[in-house]
Amino acid sequence: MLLSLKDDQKQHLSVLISQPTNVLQDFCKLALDFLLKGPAPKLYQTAAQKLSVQPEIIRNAVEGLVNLIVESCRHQLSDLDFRDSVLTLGFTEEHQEILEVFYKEKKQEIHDALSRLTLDLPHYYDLEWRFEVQLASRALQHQVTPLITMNLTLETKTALASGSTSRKNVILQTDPTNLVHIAQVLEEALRDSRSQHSRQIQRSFK
Amino acid sequence: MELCVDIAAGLRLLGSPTAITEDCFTKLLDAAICAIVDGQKATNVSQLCNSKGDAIKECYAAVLSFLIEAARHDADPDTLSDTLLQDYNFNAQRSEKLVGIYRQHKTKLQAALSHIGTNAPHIIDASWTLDYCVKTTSLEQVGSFIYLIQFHTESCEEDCVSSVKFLCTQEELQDLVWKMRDAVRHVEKIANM
Repeated sequence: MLLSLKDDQKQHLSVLISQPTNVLQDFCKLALDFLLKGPAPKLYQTAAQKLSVQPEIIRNAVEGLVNLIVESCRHQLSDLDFRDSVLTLGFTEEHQEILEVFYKEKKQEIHDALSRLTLDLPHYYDLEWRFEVQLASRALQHQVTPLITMNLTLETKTALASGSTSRKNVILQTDPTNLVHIAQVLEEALRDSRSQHSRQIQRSFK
Repeated sequence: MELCVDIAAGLRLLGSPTAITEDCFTKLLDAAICAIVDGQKATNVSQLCNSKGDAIKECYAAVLSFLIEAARHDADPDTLSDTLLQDYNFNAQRSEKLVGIYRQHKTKLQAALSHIGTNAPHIIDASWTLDYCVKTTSLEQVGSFIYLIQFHTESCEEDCVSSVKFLCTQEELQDLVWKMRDAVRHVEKIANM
């Protein structure tokens, strides 16, 4: 499939078409920076001076490039489709090659980041457990109560920047009977994803 | 097991047939056990019997303390019986009645006591939903299973059931299940020792 961009997005990218390949390469770096750290107005200012254009135009071009790559990842364009889309936008063969290398390199990373974007509930990360016997409490002095204390680590993933995952520990406990029950319930859940029904759904949406 | 002076005095009063009638004695025991095990507060204890409100209240407090302290220390019924007879002037019949009540409800008394204290949220159940994610705002094709797991928990401090919710992919759930199974195996090994 071909990527269809809006007119103003095309216009923002058109600045790049007339530039030599090494400039385009620099723009790819700026786009990558944008993906990892967000916009960097200072860099755009210097770039604008070099090319003697308005910083606004540079910013639009970078954002246009980011948009092109992200949209391509969103639709999971094949390398061939990506090439055709880029050529249709008016880029030359040499430009196309640079963009394709950039796309190939970053495809997986951006795809992973995009897949994390929508789910804001914390994800399971780890579970540690220990088995203990409660011997006494203030209210009950002689007891032998078996307990399983667990440390459930949950992780909230955020988009691209790698250092920004936050983890949270939840301390929980349970008794042996409930532990066996919960383990059974979860095993059942796991089995269900391999059931006939689940596979049918999976196939029909492919 | 030691009781404070006021409670000991109340217990002595309870043991004396001249102060507390037989009928009243039975009613006091029933009210006390109801209060601890079922959590039903006896209303207007002083009117339980038609004599001497203050004495009745004192005895009621003594029965409550006696039962709770005995359960708390996991006291042996026969030893309790001896103590009642020797230190608190109980006659054999009343001592047998009180200790009988204790023996009968000991497990329930201790269960009630085990609910007092602090603990981490205690998992009592788990529920889950399995979703197949087809498409999202940021991705045209996703095609992966996603689990929403919910642990239902209760704790001593709060009466209500609360919950811990989180998402799992298939691999993450597999990991969780492995770790749980590991814990189960360990517990079963200990149970068979």
